[in-house]
Amino acid sequence: MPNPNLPSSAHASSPPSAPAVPATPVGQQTTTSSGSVRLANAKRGEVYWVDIPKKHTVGSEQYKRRPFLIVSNNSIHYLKIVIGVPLSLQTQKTNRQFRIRVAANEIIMDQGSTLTAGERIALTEQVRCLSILRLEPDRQAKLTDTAISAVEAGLGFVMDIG
Amino acid sequence: MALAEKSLDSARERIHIRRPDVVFVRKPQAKVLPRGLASIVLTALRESDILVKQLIAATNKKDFEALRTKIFRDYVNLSFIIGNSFSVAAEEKPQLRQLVTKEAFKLVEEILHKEGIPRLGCDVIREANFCLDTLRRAHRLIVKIHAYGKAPEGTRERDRELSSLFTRTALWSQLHLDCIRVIVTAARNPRVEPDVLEDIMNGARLSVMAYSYARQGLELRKAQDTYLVESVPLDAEDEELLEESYSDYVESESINAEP
Repeated sequence: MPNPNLPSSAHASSPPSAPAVPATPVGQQTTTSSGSVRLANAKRGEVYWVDIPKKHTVGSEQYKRRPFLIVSNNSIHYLKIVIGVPLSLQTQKTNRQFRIRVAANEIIMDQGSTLTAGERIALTEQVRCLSILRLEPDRQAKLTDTAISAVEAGLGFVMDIG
Repeated sequence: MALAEKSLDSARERIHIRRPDVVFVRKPQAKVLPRGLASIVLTALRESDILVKQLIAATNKKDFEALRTKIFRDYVNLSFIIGNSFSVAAEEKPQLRQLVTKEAFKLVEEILHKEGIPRLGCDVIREANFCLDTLRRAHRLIVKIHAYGKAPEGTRERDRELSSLFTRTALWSQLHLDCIRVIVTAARNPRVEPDVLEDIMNGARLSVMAYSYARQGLELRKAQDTYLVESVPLDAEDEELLEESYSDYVESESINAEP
């Protein structure tokens, strides 16, 4: 018997069906035993601010408040997690390889965005899983399809997939 | 990425093709073809190497770029001759193109690893390896695109555009990877000016764009199933994990902190 809580795509033999019970929609206010929070409605190709405290990291892992590009498939976001890649302003970073340059005109800034405009480097080696709680709720920008697919090229190399 | 694309545009090459017909092969792969076709491919590869040797002999960036603009059309035509020869043979053996491409990438990768580091150093070869690997992934996407077949109605114009962009960028990257291959395998170690080498590396980097266009072409063919992104109820374990993450996070940090 297939688990009804898994996405329908996980069951090769069963036809896709819409879920019967609505879950807490991402992008809305949700209440937990720890308080009330507004969640980001993150989708693949979008950019959000993410704050990662230093004490949550070790070694060369990135920390501080940084813009992250969401690279995960939208179909996993119901789990309230996303997979993101930090976007750096330091475009002169050496050792480019899998670090993908994203031209300024490939970044479509949202109104009221607090991102600094300009070219960015997607640090694909720093890809990580993020709870949507780590994402600040307001979207900052969106990348063009060309740019997101280019970042995917770097991710494919880093993870040796594809 | 942007710089390399500008260089490509400045070459003012406009390739009009009906579908991606790029195949990455070297001499050993030509031998799997019937004698007549193999002879055509070997001649085209030889001519192509002559063009590449002329190109790497450029003594400065300006000459390199001028020469590249001049030879690129010939390089493209030779590549189409090679691609078409394999297409003819692939009518009998559908997996042929995929197999020879796979072997050719492996061969070039081995050449870079074995000969490349002493000639060009680790950094250049690492970068070249990334470009080669990305081009290989782009070609794998083309196999998937062919398996899906035609793009749906309403997306065909975009598909043609992506196909043309893929061909341009894949061949541009291949030309520059060929430059690196010829440099590392030359009998006499050719002197390559640093600014020329920089241009070569930027050109090879267009494999990223080739991947991007191929990926978008594949995306056009995939069904956009909305049921996959609708909310799905969480099971007990998911709920527990989520609840734990809320507690841990709220206790330790202020959520959505301003800078």
